[in-house]
Amino acid sequence: MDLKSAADEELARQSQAGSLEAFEELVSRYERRIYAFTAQWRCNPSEAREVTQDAFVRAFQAIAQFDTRRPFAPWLFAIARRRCVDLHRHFRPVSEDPLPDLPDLDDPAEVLARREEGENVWRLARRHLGDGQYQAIWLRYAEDMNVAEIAQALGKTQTHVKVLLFRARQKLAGPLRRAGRETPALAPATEGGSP
Amino acid sequence: MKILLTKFRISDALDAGRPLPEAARAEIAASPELRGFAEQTAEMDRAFRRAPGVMPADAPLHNSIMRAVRAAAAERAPRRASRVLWLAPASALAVLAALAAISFWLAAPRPPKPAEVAGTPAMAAVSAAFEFSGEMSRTMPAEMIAPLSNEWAQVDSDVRGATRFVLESLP
Repeated sequence: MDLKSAADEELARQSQAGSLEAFEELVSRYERRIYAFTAQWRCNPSEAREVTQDAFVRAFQAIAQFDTRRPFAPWLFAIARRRCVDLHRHFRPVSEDPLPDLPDLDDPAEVLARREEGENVWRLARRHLGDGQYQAIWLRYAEDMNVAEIAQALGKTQTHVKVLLFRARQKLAGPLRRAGRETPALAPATEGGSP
Repeated sequence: MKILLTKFRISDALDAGRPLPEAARAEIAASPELRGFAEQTAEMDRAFRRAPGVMPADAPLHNSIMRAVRAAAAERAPRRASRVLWLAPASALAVLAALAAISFWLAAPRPPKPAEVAGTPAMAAVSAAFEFSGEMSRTMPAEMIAPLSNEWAQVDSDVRGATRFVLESLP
């Protein structure tokens, strides 16, 4: 079977059977995402690299315990999150350093516009949300996970995740509206009816 | 409170990707605050979806991850081999030990079961306790009991009282 087209869970199954190539494909698919998750959370780029590497080693060591009937991504993110929590005491407080580079697109103007908008929205989120709320929002939008998957990745109940997302939206509504006055791309479609 | 709950439903509907129920939609239409929240969250949803959240990892990250994973795999391989090596004798020993324990248990002489005094086991226990208290006062030497005669009488009366209570409470 072609590893490139195989589902994550199939690759995990092959990894359980001892295929290092299958696991390498999983690393290729997820290294950026795990790195982004850890880098945007609490650590600087070098710490994020260390946590990312550690998370994959842990995942490899624990791959036999993965249930291939369940989605792979939340399982891997749960490991990465636990590594972040383990190392949390060594992490510096959230810095004001610029975020790492965003993906390259074809159109340079589009790249600039998206980069600016993306940095703004995520920076606002990082500034105004607590860790749990930020992680929930990150997994929801950057990872496109549903509530059940976020719950698995964060080790919380689905209700708890729904509440985290709700509170995050409540907290961000004001700052985003204010930011929208400066950056029109972030402005709500209509401004009417705000409290 | 109702407004807060409806806001929660707006947020939940956004995550579930399903439309809000008719009643909630009516509430939103009637409340400027709810309408504002619904518009803001919908726009926030679009802004987050438009904002790229994934960064490219550089090649050294992939290489360093795979180096660490290969090191972990190499470390695991000899451990697994040595485990397999020990597995056969260890399981044979465990089976032998279990067999020895079972045969010892089967061959061991068993003490005869005490015969029940009368009726149900509860009755037997009560009558045994009753007999024991009377037996003690009869069989113990008077010199031993004399200094503690008051206490002993108290104990005896307690035992009798308890026995009567248990006997009366039996069906």
